[in-house]
Amino acid sequence: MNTKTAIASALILLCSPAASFAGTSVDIQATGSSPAFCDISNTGGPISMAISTDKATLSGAGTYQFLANGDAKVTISALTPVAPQGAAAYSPSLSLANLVTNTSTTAIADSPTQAGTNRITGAITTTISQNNSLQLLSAGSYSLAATATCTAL
Amino acid sequence: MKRCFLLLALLWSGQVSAQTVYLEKKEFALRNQTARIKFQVSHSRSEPVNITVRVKGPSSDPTKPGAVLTEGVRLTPSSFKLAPNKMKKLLLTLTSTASAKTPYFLCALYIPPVERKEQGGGATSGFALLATESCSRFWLVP
Repeated sequence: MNTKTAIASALILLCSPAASFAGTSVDIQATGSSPAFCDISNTGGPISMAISTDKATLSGAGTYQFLANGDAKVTISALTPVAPQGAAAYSPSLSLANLVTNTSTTAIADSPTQAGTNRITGAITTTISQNNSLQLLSAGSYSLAATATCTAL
Repeated sequence: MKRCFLLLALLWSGQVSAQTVYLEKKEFALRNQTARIKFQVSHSRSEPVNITVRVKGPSSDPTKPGAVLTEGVRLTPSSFKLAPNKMKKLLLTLTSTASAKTPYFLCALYIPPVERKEQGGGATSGFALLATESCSRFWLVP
């Protein structure tokens, strides 16, 4: 009886579904890594600037998008303004809303580190404002150039 | 597998039209003061655009790119026209005498075309041109 029980137990173990499939089982292991990146775009191209009613400021607006899948920073390079020859004193400014603003023609401005994942859409605001006693911008064409840089850390 | 993840990342960034640099690793070993860095560049604008790739060195702050490097950099082509949503594979050979782990930055620059409309009659007008650049930091390890 004991021998029969032992043989039956062995047969049950050998013929059970688990035993049958054991030989065909496969360990599935999926691995991968997502590359860190950031994107920043000026979605509208060149930004037109129009004079204010008090003739003291040229201003324009655009839209930017910033996307990052990990810690990142955004900087605006030193501004490069061009004004009519002999223009009265003025001050340029370029701002990415909620990120960073630069008013300098010599220094870079940088945002705090944007931690984690980010997807931000915001306004680009550009201005050239008078900075003279008459509070007027000289007549003529002005331009403002800069580079917005995002850095995936 | 890596290509799938890059494509997924590109799709995830779908709404953004910016240029992107994808580095497969964050650290690269220097051998004989030289590192070979494989990377890919893409953008998702609506039409082919010119992209310029440049390498920036370290600055006093490890989170901020330093000056654009012109020496010790071998990267061909560094400027090219790229169709939307295409991955451009590139190889950078970078020479460095760094004796400690040092951050470098690989950047893709897009400058929007200027279509300036001159206004006559002394009118006061202007325009602003904001170029955009996406950088990825990597480390060279002696």
